[in-house]
Amino acid sequence: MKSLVALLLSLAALSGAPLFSVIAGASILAFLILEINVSLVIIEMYRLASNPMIVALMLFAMAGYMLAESGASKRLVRLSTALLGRAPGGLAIVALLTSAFFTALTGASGITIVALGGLLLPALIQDRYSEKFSLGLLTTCGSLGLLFPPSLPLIVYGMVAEVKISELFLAGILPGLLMLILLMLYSVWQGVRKRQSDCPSEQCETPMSLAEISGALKGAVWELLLPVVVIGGVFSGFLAISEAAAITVLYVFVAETVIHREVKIRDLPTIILKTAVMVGAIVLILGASLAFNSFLVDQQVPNRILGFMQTHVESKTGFLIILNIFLLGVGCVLDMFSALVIVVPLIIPIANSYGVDLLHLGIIFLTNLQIGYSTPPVGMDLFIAGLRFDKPIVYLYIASLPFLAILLATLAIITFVPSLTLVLLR
Amino acid sequence: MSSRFSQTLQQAIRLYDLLEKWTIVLLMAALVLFALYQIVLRNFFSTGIVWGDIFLRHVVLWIGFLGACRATAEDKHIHIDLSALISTRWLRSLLGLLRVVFLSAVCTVLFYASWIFLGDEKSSGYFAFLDIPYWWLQTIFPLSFLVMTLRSLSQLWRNLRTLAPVAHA
Repeated sequence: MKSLVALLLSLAALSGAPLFSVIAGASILAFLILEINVSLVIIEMYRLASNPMIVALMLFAMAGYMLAESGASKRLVRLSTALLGRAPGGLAIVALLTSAFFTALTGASGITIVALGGLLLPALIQDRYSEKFSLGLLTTCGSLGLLFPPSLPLIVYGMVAEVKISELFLAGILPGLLMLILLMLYSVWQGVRKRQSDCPSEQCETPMSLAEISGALKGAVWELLLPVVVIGGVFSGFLAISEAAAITVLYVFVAETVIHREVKIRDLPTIILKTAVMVGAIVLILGASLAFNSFLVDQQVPNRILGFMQTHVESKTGFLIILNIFLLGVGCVLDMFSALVIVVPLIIPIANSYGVDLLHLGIIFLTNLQIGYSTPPVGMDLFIAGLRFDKPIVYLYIASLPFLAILLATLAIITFVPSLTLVLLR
Repeated sequence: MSSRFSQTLQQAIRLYDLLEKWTIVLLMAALVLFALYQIVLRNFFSTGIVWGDIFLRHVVLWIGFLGACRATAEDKHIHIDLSALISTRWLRSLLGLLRVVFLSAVCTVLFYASWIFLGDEKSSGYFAFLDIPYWWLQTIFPLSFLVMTLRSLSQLWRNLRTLAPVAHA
């Protein structure tokens, strides 16, 4: 019976049924088998309404969508091109920085590739970067910045693991920077190689234009101050997370609608609907997984996994290695939000027993899931980039391989150097 | 189906779609304005609305579930997409059919479950804030799952109609 149910659910998931329906279906079937009233599914879902982070999730997503509709991406690209465009690998660094900034604010919902990819790909190709390098870079860029506040996956992890979001925001900063720096170094190396082949003898460099820098800086000043508003508001203790989210919405509204006048009042209903659809899809998965997790806990599944792990894995290092392999697999088949809500509650008791800090665990989780975003068979970045750049997914996957290697190296450092995550909190 | 009935039905669906979209927009406006109002009250007047947080969380719940209804209409739920890997037409149609049958079945049970939940909550008689009982706020569950059930059933109907010529051929 159990295997029949598992087969049905797997088939439903593979057929493309919404993942919330697969998770809710699993809970319903489990409750029916255990002869528990099926209304418990809704009782568990309703627990969403007692989580204050749900307000922050909705508001930050709203601010992100507003930003995506504006010309913010163009202004950020202009500024970083003015500052870095002439350096070796400069344009690739521009892509990395602007994507990280943009994804932190819009969440890993594919917006980054859609908003920035079209802008950056022709520029990279024109600057004589190879197509393969450019596509790999932009595909990887799609989920870069997830570790920076106020990214939605960070908030979702905080909601599920019940850790303080403000601490989680701090925990992600150094690991996120490390990832960014390693990718930049690779880009610089590529840039130097490109420059040697482009102009082996004569001087190619043109001086930086101060006028362009100051013009670009003036244009992007409102977007540049946004992280200060978010981070400053939260860490000064002046605002709670959901309040900082409301202020962010107001700030982005004033910047993009009143000052830049790029987002018109008549565009707002469409932006609100887009936000509601995306957050609605996440909320439903969160709700369904609350029911499913209560079933797992009732069946003592986390305890059983814990018992199994404790008899077979002795050290914390062993646990972390197995965790990473497992999460990379999960990241390949599940989207980030489903993976977080299903797997985090199972892993937390085990992580606790091995003495892994829950903030450190969160950053390991998100790094793994970020890598999963660019790996087949269901890496969302690959699909979105495939659609956006009109390239076969297999080609994009091969193009992303060097970047994936760098992300894996970062993952290893993040995993085995916990102080990188925790030092800002002490 | 008579054409007159079908026309009325189409009109009703369009009207509901419009109502749903504008409710989401107005709720989001209320969410942002109320959240900002509370910040002003707290920081400048050292006061606040006691039931403010409960209200805000329920507004988000409503926007989220109405948004999920829109996601069902626009086929934008988070899902695993293997369609690029399947080239056989009949297999793709079959999996498409399985997808909507499963979704319809789950939504129907969730509607039933939320109906029972609402009945239980109604009889408990607790109030959320002011004179508003909790069950009023919880009506979003049966409402949204009913809408999702109807939308998935209509997808199923469309799937079956397009599948019929394939099977026939």
